[in-house]
Amino acid sequence: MHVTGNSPHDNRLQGVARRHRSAARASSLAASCVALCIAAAGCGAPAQRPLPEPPVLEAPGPLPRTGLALDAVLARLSGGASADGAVIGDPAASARPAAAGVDAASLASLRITRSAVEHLEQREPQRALDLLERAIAIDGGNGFAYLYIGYIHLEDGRPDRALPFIERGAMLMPDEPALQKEVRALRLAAKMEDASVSGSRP
Amino acid sequence: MSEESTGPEFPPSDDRLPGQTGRRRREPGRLRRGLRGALTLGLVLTPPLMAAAALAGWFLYQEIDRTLEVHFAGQRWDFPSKVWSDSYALYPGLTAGERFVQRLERLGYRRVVDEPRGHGEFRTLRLPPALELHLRPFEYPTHREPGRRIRLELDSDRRIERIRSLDDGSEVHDAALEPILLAGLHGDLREDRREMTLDEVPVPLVRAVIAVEDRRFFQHGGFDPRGFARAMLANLKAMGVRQGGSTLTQQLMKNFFLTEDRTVARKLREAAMAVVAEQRFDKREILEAYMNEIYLGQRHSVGVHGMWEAAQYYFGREPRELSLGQIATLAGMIRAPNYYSPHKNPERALERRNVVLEVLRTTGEIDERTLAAARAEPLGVIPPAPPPPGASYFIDVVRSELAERYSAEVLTSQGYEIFTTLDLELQRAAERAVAQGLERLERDYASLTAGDGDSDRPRPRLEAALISLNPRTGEIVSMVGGRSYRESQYNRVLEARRQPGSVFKPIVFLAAIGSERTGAVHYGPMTFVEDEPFEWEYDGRVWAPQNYEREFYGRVTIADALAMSLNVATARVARDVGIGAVRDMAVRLGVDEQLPAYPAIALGGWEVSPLEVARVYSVFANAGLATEAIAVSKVVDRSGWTVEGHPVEIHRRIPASDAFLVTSLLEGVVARGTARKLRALGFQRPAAGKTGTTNDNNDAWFAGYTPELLTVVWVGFDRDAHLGLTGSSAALPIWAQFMREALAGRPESRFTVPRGVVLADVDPASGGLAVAGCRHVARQAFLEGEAPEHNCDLHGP
Repeated sequence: MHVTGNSPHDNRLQGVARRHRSAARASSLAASCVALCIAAAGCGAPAQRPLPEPPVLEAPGPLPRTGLALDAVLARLSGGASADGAVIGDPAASARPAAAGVDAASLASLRITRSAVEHLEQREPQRALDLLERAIAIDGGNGFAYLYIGYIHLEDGRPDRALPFIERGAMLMPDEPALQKEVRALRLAAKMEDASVSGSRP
Repeated sequence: MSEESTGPEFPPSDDRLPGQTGRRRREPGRLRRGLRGALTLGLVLTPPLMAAAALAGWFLYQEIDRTLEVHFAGQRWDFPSKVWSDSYALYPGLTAGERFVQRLERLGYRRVVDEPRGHGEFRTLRLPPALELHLRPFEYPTHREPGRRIRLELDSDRRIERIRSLDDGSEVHDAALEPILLAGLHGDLREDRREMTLDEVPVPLVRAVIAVEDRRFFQHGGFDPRGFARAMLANLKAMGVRQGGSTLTQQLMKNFFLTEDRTVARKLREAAMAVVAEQRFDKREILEAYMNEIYLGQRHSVGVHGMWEAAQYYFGREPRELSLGQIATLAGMIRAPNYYSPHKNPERALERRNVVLEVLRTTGEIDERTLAAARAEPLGVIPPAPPPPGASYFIDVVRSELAERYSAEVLTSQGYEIFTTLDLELQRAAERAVAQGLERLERDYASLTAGDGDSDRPRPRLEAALISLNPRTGEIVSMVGGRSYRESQYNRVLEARRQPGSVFKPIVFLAAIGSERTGAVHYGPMTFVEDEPFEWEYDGRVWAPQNYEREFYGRVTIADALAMSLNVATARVARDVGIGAVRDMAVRLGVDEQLPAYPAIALGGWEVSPLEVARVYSVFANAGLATEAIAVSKVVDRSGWTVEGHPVEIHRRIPASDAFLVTSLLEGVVARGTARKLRALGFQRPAAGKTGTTNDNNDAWFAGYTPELLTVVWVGFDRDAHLGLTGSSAALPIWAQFMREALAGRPESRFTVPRGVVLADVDPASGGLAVAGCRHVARQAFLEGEAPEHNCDLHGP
């Protein structure tokens, strides 16, 4: 076996991706990322800052920002160490693998999700999907992984597959109103796409 | 040709007179005439004979050429498809203790003392605790594992804290142990090989093979008269066949097209084919084909062909990673692969290796120093591959699934890599649990092996089925379709349809307490229901359910009714909710649509397969989401193209809150109900499950799950023979043994409480909030706004 390039599935994923880039979704994802950062960091102050202008999405563009949010969660759960193990604050914190009470499986699952995001950034959605499936196999409470899987299916033109993942991800995300609002927007986009694909009305 | 016109005139044979025996006296003129005639005949016959020989040669050439064109120029071999297990993900939280080391060793990893330098090596360190591992390269469908060197940093309990690269110290998040080959889908030829190009063959290996098999390979044209003469001379001296004198090309032709017969005709044809082959193909092509074709031993019933396959089989390495000693061992084996097998005859293999090394020195390929170093090497062989794993029922499922989409010819010739979801370690644990569990039952209950009292027929053997899957992804991780695949290939997981008994009850309670309940009574986990005899009139018939022990408990909560598996209370709830609603809920969860809507189904009076039960319970375990049970995850062709993939799919069946309510009730079954024995059996993780015993005591079930693994066990006889045991005594111990082993070393996790659910500590007997005097306190889930607000009135003020 040789991995000589993208499979047709990958190509389809990337090709179809452009069909989904609506400004609304860009806005929702960008805002959700910021909100997620805030929620994850447990800090209210940044919420006062104006949201940055949503970028025009290039597949798999919108998600790296959520990846930043994921980093923030990982940093918090790891007791100061970022996803790649680099110390963010207290040097002594690097010695602590995880904050007390944090489920080791959850942390591992989040870290795998982070790796998946990197593969998405490198336009390897199939590899990312494999890792995300592994992430939810390890921790069924990893909302990020569900959201990303939903995103990949949506980009693949399979909103029917995407919707349950997005909904599950939404349920598992922190109960932050701004974030939930944006995830709902993503869900709406998936539903609309689903309706247009299936030929029915939402 | 006419004899009269061209040949000399000889008297006919019957020209002699009777009694005449001597030759005729030759006359001087006749001799001359005879010589002239013979010459004339020779002159006349030679051209046609030569023409005939040339014609025959031309036909032979054409025939050989066509044979080579058809069988050698295109795809040269049939490549059996390979069925792989799942890989084993490594991540923080896993325990890398003794079991993990056993897993490594079963994968063929070698323990070393120094830092692992070769693929497939590992070492354990005490202070600080760590395990260093040199992963093997592996081509996954979506990426290549290059064979990294990693260090698992462990805590004092040998749990993985962090995984780092040994090369640059960076943290690694995507490491995994490679899959294990489960089966090859062979055609008539049972050969394993992986094709490689000549560029992938290390030069020393090429030189070694040429040195010992055909030193004049680059000088001759397919047939080497000098080599042949030398071999014949050696054979004459030895008064027997000692050397074949065949060139590499001849060997290749023989292996490809001819038999092993030692006849002159075969030898001539072999030589002819070699000569033609050398005219059609260049030396590189021939050498490449040879390196891929050559037979190098036997892995059970399958031949090991080609250098890549042999390097993997004997040394667990790719050819380019072989040491000189290992190269010499492989080159030396060509002459007699089984006689010089390093597995079967290591001393002979060592001796032969040293002879090859000596040849290499003699031919100038290596110097004295290199020779000495290579001779000092141990054989470095890894243990022979264990017998094919016993995942036979699972492999059957994979085969039948593939057969729906691919012809047998494609599967046996195109070399597909079929990636499955099976975890071989868990499969072994499952097979062990079933085998030992059934033996234990037969030992403890003599009636199980005694003759069948109901008829003259001998009692069949006690059977069991087990299926285990990851409820979040639907990946089937282990499957035992019966006690012995050799005795019966009937896969009870899929094909046996048996009554589920009380395993069905959670569906009734879900229909009653879920957010979509439609019954007249507003049930919740702490709602009371009467456990007293009653009659249910239905379609003009009367049904009077009974409890298993013929005792009735009066007023009980829903939670206790399920925990104690009370038939009558359950039937009352089903009647209130409506059997149609119960039936619809069952179908929605994954029971076959043929399920009728009659009262007895509430107590499991309908036949289902263990797979169906697993499907239903996976919805409870996975927050109300159904997953498709997956055995094959990906099929990849030889070029790396993913022919088909089965990503995880989820579908919402019931609200997450409802699923959690059921899980909470089923935790009660384990904590204080019919499955409380589970804790005594040594299983201490958070778990939810339900026992099942049919009315006629013919079937015993346990369906249960932790957040990460769901397992269903059935025990009974294939035909309706009396089992006489409950799910708790027959199926639960098997479940417990399997789950203990399956989850050992994995981090413990809890069921995720979804939104819309609150937890409260209650006394399940009174249904009120627990107070200091309550003997039994259960942490019970309720839909938001439905938790009891009053204290326990049995033990409180």
